Amino acid sequence: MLPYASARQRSLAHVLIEELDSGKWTRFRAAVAFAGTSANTKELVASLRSFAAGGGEIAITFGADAFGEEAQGSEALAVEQLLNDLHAYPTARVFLYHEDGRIFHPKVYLFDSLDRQAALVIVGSSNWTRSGQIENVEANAIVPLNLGRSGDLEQFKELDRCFVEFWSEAT
Amino acid sequence: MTNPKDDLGKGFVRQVTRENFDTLRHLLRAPGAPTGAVAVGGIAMKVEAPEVTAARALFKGHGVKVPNWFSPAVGTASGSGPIPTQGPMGAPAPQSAHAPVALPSQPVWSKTLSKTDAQRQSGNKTGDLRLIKADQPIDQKTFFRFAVFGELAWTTEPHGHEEATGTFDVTILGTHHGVLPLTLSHRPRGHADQENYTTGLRWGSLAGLLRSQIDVTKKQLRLYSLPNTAPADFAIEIV
Repeated sequence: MLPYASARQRSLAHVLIEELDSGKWTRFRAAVAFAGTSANTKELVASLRSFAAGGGEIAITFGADAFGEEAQGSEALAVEQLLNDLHAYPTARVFLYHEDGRIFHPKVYLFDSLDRQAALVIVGSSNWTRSGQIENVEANAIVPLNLGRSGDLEQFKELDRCFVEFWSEAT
Repeated sequence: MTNPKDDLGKGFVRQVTRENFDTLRHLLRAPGAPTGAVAVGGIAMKVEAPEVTAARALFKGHGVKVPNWFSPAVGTASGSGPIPTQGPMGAPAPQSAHAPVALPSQPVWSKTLSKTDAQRQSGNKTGDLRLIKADQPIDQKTFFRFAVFGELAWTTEPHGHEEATGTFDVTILGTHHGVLPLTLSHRPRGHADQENYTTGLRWGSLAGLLRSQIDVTKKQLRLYSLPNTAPADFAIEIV
């Protein structure tokens, strides 16, 4: 859980950067409702680039729901920044999810390494925004999974299926 | 031959690249540029730009319909009847991907809507519903911000007020308008009596409808908090 964790440098942004830099994972996937430019800090972008440069696979899916007079939804500039920052890395992909009448609303971050039979799921309330990752009082559960254990493997498979079948597009 | 059921819920995601970004960007938010609310014949109408329509057309799939597992019992206070086949003023009823949610037996709050709430007062329209005591035993300065909507992700805006967006299953006078994101605004230092409210709910995409098509003045609005299993955070029913 991560409420009030920013003061101890354990905000979600800190955790994401730490995990990307850890060398433990071969894949980072995220499915997040809203993206804001404020989350694309130079530190996080540097870690994403370094992760991809090392051959790590990145797949990030944002909601594409521009709705209402208040114009809610992911910021175009936030997505464009990431595309530009990760353009040089073919293993890094960004997706948009749009479904009429339904809002894309998950906040799931998933690291895994099938070689190590390990995964790390972060699921909670944080959007891809600075406020969601650093400033707000958010709550995220960080769940390590041992993919050598059937129960954990089943949990991972279910989440993996969501990413593969529903939140990414085959290329 | 593939079974259409195998495709349920698929087809709503597209990889975005620098090459196709200009096509897809219309579905995203441009800072400081609200979506296309334009004046048509003196009435604010929401018109979808052709490029938005084109971008939306790229996302095609077989949507999953969420079953209405928790049907309200006959004669509950929900008052929700069948969805009419015609909308107000003879227009087709709004299309909604969901059936109306089953409403809890009791609303968390209700209010008889004023002309101001209904966006029918003379002069400038406020665009919001004032969340006040409305004869209920609550402290309106804290009830909405911390009790009813406390779990939403509130952000502090530059002028000091707080905002949060929740999803609301909306039914107005028997017509289901689907699940809509609506934004709340809270002024922590504001006074909060019947005349000067602290928390408001912006009508958002419903504002134009209320201004020009459906007059809900003196109608009763019921606000429900929905369980985590529901497809929306809250429900609004106007009867």
